[in-house]
Amino acid sequence: MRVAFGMLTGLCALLAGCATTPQARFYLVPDPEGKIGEVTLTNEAGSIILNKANETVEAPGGDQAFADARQADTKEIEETFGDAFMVMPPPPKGFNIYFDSGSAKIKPESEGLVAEVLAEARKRDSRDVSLNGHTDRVGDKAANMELSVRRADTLKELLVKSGVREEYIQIEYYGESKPIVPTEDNVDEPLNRRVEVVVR
Amino acid sequence: MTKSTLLLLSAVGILAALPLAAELPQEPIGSITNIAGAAHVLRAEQELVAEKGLRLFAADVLRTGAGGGIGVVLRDDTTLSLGPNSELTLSDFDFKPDEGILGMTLKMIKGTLVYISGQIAKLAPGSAKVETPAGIAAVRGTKLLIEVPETKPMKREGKSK
Repeated sequence: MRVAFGMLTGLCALLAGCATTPQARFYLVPDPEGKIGEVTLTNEAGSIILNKANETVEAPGGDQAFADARQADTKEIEETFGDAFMVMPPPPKGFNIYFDSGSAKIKPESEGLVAEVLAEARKRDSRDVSLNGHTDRVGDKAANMELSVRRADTLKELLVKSGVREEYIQIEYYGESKPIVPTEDNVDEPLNRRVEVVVR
Repeated sequence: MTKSTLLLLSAVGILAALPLAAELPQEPIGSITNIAGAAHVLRAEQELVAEKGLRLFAADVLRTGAGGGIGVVLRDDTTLSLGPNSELTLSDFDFKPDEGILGMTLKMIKGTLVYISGQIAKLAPGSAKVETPAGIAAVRGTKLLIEVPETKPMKREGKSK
């Protein structure tokens, strides 16, 4: 599909060296869940939408229009992007670890998940783990802010003990300000008493 | 030294110090998770050796040599990788979903890029962009591959003067 696009001549100034630019090739491929998204390509001559698996298009550069989209075969894709695929990171993995009311003690039900966090960090040799601490609205705001740090610290200690270096862990804390389940003040809500973990 | 000269000099000193004081500490926008061969990060005119775990900041340039590769995870869960002889600038990255501030621009200079969009493209379709020398890709939740073949240096005929 090609869309007429007459107002983009000014872009030439933004794209350095219009007259001598190299061409670019774009390929739309299924994401890790098998879904096909959509991408709109735009240059000075117009725009084109890719929305089919393995659809590819060449941009000649300068003020020349995009070529017609075509189907790429997997061999072409592998030959061009094989090296980049080799270093493509796995998708980051998130976990919610829950805590006892008013305490930085991990709920027994969440202990299995803590083991999964550790396993994931080890598997990837992760050097980028985020721990975001939260509370419910029982108690005052200041105390909850402090409690949310202690919850994140509890997890951090466990990770460090298991070999994740401290410098690779970042903590953020939000007290009661970012609930999963919004409640009135002083409501005991187990789902909000959590540390959100992201292992990258 | 006169008093006015002294005043002038101290004023110059304060002015010179201002740009440093005005630079707020930046938040990392992601980190390197994979490395192959020769790979570097260009930051404020410094060339850092790319290492697993290295935090990345807006305006960083990722650069790989022959046989090199870099894999990166950004804070909105965008994942991307570069093949050999590639260069990519992490131009802009705004991920503040609570404030509705969402957007990212990557600039692919040359080489091969594998890109899987993250939450920015999901929450604000079209606001995640990859610029290339021959067009801009606006992404709506997708896995995209981009190749920018290296330009052959122009041969200059005759003498330079």
